[in-house]
Amino acid sequence: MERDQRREWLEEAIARWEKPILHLCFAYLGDTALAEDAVQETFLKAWRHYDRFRGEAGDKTWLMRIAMNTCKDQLKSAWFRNTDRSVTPDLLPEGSVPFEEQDDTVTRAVMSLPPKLREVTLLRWYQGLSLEEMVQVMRVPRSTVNYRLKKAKTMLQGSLEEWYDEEE
Amino acid sequence: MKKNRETIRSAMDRRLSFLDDLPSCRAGVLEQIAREEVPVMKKKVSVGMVFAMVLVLLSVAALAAGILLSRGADAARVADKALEEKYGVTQEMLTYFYREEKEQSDGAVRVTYTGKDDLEYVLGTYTADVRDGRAEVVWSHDGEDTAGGYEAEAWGKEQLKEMLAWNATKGNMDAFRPQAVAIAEKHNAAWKQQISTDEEKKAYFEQLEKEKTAALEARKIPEEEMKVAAREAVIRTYELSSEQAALLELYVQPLAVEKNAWYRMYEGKPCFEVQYFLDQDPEHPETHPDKDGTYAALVNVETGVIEKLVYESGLGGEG
Repeated sequence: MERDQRREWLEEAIARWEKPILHLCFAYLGDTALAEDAVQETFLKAWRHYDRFRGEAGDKTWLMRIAMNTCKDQLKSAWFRNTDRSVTPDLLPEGSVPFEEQDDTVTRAVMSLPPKLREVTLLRWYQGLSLEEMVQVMRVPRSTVNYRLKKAKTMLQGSLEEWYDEEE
Repeated sequence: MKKNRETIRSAMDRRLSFLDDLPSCRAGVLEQIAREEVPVMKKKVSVGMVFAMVLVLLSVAALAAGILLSRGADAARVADKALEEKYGVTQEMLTYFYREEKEQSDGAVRVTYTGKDDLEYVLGTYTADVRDGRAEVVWSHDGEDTAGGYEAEAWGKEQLKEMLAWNATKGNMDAFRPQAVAIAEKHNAAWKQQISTDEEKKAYFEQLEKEKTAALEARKIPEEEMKVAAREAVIRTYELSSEQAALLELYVQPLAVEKNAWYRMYEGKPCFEVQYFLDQDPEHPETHPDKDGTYAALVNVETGVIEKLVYESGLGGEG
């Protein structure tokens, strides 16, 4: 892959996917600074490994996979230092777009899920990935994805009024 | 199902809209890439370089064969076992405690296990004095009645067992945290976060950053060598089987942008932090096979000594 083409791809990828990935990382990590770091590192990793991974999956799927792995690494580095980097939805800043109480309830409910269930919820119902894409992102069997989705749905039922329980 | 997706997506997009006002990472990414693209002269591999590489490989093997645990890390291993034997507090239950090791002037090492945060009062503190490979353990609630579930004011192994079971199925601490807080308040012993104001947080992170850089600058041993040493120490200390050892997954971020990301000072010693994760049944997240969790080691970057080892089952907390 020529350098110019790779650079062009990176510029387009940042323009297209930076904000969705930032939202994903924040919702997973609950910390703005950590989320910004994770986004930057995601694009750096994508740049470095562009030739190796390109074509294995779509851009979005591939970037989401790198982003989730980066977020997980960041969370796992926190507990050893006894620093509190747990998700704290209470500290969510006000948005620039007006929101309703229900938006707040939904966001807090999702961010309060255990990490593995938060991950599937964010990928499926926030970022709109298909089950096959989730298998590629999470590198676990489809049955595992389904199991976690079902469990996440059950945990969210009590918090969300608009939750519907039909199967896929 | 489409309704769910739209509900979550639109609600979270609105609620997290403050993120859209943040500056783009584009400039930072391009700047880092430009730094990495500085051309490097290609060199032929010389006989001297091959010799040097062989020496590095040999030193890795030597370090792995003779893992050096600090006195604190070795004492913690002894204390962990004594704690389980006397009080039934298992490795998994330690998810609810902070553990510290301090060398004493009389030659002993004191290992303390303090209940985490809101649980500090009810779980109390276990103190183990380790001498000559033997530990004597006492509990701050010794002699108190632990019967009565969460109604008791001192929580021992029975409560810890219940807490783990609840956490495993619910992923939160709702069944016991409120009781723990109420009991602590009743005894005027409510837990308070040590670093709470913005100024304190800023000072803490500035100090942390300085220490990380100092630890990185003190490094004399290659990171790969320290990862190998940490892995061996984890396998031996926690007595992992060969099957479990084969499943250990390294959690050091090899592509970390910040070079000092995994460095820190511990008891004044410059260290490199290595983490391994064990998940023996990834297809069934609801299960927790024995010894699953995260293992972390602090390796002294000057001497290769393992200064601290920690196992975290990941079963406690809010998910």
